[in-house]
Amino acid sequence: MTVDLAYILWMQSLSGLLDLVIPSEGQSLVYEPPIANNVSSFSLSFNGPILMSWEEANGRVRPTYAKYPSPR
Amino acid sequence: MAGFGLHTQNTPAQDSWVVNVVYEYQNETMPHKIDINFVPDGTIDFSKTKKSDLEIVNTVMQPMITNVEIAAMRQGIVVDFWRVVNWLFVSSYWALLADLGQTTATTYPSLPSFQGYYLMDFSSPVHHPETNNIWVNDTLYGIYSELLLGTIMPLLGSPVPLATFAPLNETNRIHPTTTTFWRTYICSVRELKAPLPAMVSIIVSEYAFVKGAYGLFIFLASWYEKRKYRQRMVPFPILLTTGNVCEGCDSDDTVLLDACCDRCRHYV
Repeated sequence: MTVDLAYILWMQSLSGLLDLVIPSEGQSLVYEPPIANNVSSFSLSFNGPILMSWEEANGRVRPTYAKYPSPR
Repeated sequence: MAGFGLHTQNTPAQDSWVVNVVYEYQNETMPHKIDINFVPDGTIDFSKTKKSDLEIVNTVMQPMITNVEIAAMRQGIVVDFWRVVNWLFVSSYWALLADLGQTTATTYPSLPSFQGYYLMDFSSPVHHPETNNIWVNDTLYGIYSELLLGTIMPLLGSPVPLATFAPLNETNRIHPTTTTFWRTYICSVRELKAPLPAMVSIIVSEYAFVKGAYGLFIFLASWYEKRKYRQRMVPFPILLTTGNVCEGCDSDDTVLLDACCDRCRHYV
């Protein structure tokens, strides 16, 4: 399998992995709360832009994230 | 979050790069920040990452780590959570560059008067080699594709392809390409109309305003005239009990006020 085909698989898996660890709004929040109970906000980031984060909103944990990429 | 996580030279293109973990406890107002350093093969760089810091982050993220591990156990695999996180970041990074047609990274130093996140000195770019690009370096490609096929795809329940990934070489690799950004916008240039269409346009558009104003004027004027006429009318009971004498001909006939005498046409 060439790298171009591998790239497509890669992108699909990347998107699926983001869905797994960061459930989209409307999906069941499997990881609610995904962080320790005594933590009110959390983020994993790289050079400033946040890839995944959670914060308390109205008494519940809200996932905030930017998803990237879509298969080219 | 402002002020955290600025590593202007932080890139997976280097031999060590950083994921910033920022968290805040419920009874505190200031967030904590811990850097997890990785090396190109996807493992944690313990020469730069304290084990005590990693333990703290593992505690903060324990619910998520546990759920990922349970999902992996259901698929009969074992997951190294931080290798998956590294795979997520590194794949996203090189995929973003590849989508823009690039195989190398360029970073920029921050400005000396830097106060926020994204003020960079774009006049001093730092070009990094493509050595650590996972779709260019065959060793890294093997490591990351093995994680994809052996961990990520089973974790997601995706069918693993029977065909193996061909090793990278000069032709089977991601090549830099020219990428074009298409930008569309509405283009309108003002120009003079021909005299006749211009007159028609002006008359038609002005007519709406003139007709409206004229209608309003007529309405107010007619209202004023009616009001004035009503004030001049003599009430009916007065008409029955009084009479006026014409000063012109001394006629005893009843003559209305503001009218002419029937005999001499003198205005009373």
